[in-house]
Amino acid sequence: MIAGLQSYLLVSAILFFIGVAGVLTRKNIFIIFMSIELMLNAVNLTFISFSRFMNNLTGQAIVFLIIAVAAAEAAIGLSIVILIFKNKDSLSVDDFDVMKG
Amino acid sequence: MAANTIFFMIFSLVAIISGFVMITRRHPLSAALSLVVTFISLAGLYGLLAAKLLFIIQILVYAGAIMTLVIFSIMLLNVQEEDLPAEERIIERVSITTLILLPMIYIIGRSFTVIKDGQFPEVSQDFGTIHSVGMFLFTTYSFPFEVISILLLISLLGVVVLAKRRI
Amino acid sequence: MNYTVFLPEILVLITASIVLFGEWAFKSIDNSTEKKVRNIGFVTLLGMFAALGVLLSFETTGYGLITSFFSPETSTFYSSFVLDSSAIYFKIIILISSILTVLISFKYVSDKIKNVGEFYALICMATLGGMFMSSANEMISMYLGIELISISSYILCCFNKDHNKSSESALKYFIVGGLSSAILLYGFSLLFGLTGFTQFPQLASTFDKFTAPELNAIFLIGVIMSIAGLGYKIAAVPFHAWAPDVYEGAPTPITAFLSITSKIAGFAAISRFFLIFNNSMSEKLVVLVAVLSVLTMCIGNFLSLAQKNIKRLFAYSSIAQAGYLLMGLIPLLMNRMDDSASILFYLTAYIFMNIGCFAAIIYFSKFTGSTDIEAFAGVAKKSPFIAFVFSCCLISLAGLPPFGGFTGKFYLFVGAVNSGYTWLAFVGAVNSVISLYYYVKIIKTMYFVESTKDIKFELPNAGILTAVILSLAGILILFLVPYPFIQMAKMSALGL
Repeated sequence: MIAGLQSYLLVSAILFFIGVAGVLTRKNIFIIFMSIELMLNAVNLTFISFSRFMNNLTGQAIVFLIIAVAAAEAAIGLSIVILIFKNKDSLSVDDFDVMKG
Repeated sequence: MAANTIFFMIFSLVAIISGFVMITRRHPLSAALSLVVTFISLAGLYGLLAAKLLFIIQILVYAGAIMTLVIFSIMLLNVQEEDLPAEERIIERVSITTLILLPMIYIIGRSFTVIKDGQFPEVSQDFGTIHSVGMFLFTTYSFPFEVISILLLISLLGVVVLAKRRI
Repeated sequence: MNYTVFLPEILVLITASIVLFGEWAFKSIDNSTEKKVRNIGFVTLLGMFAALGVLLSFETTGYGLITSFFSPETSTFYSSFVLDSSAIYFKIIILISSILTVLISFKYVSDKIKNVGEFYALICMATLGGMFMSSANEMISMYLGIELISISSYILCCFNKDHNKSSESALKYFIVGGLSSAILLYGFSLLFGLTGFTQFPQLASTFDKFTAPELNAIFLIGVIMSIAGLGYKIAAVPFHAWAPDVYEGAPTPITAFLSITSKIAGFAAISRFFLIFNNSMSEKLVVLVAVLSVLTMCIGNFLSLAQKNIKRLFAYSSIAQAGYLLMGLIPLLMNRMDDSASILFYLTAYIFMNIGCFAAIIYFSKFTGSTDIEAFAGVAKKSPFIAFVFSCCLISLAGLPPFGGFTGKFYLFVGAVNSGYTWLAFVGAVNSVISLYYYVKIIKTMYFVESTKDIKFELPNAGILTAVILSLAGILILFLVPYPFIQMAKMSALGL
């Protein structure tokens, strides 16, 4: 057995849905934040495996850009988290339910 | 069995397991550390896929810079056990999420199996090097590349605005 | 490569830089915040007007028709960026809405916001993101436009310094935004994997390959995930849950910005994305869009009925409006370009009605000190003109004549009927009647409920007054002489 495109895509899909599950189930801001990072990484893995499969570097250039955006987003996200923690001394996302409605 | 496949199995198992560990930890610090493990094994997968530049960037930027930032802010806030939110109704939430997500994983995984010939073709030596990816970034993707600079300016500005504030 | 096409964006970017880095230069001698805000806001307006002027000159000289969608050699940056007539139209309405947002923000900003330069710079950057979204001819450029407008909005939501809800709303927005941008990217990655292209015209051309049922499954998943990711920007059900909390917590001018500019940009992106579908696929998508439209209208309207806070009410009402607007995407998907102009026309009317409402909300809530609907009791006696315009805008939002909202909605419904979706137009009409209830409730509170408190009202400042007059003029003109505007929208839709 040789690991082909399908196996890589499956791994990335599993990682993506682990991230979704983290966002939907947890209340801790940090863990929700890291789950979003995990989802972005799963997307990157998909892009890279398609890019290898098609022998087409477009996918890798896209991943480069996505990593840059993720870094920018991480900085903003963490400063919002710090702001909220200073405000109310808690890490919970109160009465906020992504599943609600 | 090719060495590639063995490495693939190791890296993907480690990535999935530590990803799962990440969303189940109570304290964010241990979650962050297991996420670092996921990122490093993902870097390994990128290496197997001949993405040489991204292999380095994944370790430097993701596992290095971004996760250091996360761990730094967890330590800065000095998160104690009592600061952690009570994960109330956790069983209910987990079961609803599983009910929603399992069919989705099944459908998506099922749709991937139709890719019959998933073997990776041979690629040239300079596939995924800084030079070849850079060529794409500065030609086809030069517009997005320029936009990234504005985006980084915004995030710089945002961090200054948000962190400067005293409450 | 032709750099003229970037002139409007470059002007907005220069304005942002001037406002951001030159904030110190705007200090007035007597150190009053109000004058400083006025100077900075004036510079912002100047820059936006310059960009608007350039765009209008493009529009009148027919520049957009030269560089159309399917001629990549005339678009710039390896066809990442395209300036066709629909992009020009979307950019014009995005700039108009940002200008009006800046106009209504002066008093609010000088009262409540400390970092004035950053505030206006971020509004410029967010506008820039919207402009990029309407011109994006490629997945990654579109994604970056979305991130530009989203990240600026996260920061803008935090700006209210004496409001705890402000930063919490930013967090909610951030989480939902991050989640949906990841979903969008996953969809894009599948589409990329199937075709090997990221440019929309090329994607459209490789489309015929996916008639095989197996490949179709992956394709469908990719498309649905992309629509899910884009749907959050316009707050369509089921991606609407963030809207009420964010709208309530954000500073009021930013609420206006989110409900107008951000929504227009979202529709610009969605209509550009929908262009890649040829006829075989679009039949399935039309059903999906119709279902989304019905859900969005009904849920938005029913949840509005129970709202006590006016900003929350406008969140749900803007969800409902997104439902009507989604109806306008159906003729677009069916390639009936004449009718798909209705979405452009309704968006134009929507700017003026919403900005009138938000100008009034900012003005009234400054003196009543609260954004509850009950606090608006009896304000009509204190400030009859603003209350009158507010009522006109509300009636226009409900879709009654003699205002632009009626004309816009009429064209949307006609477009749906012409596309064979009579039942959808009927649902839309029923929903408009329901929405009348909560809009009229506000008018009733303003005119017929006696105020318990005795509050002194100052005269509105020039910014709010201008915005209010412009919005009244806008909705009246769009009703009385709609023909030139419809013609313009039709010309622009041809570029789509």
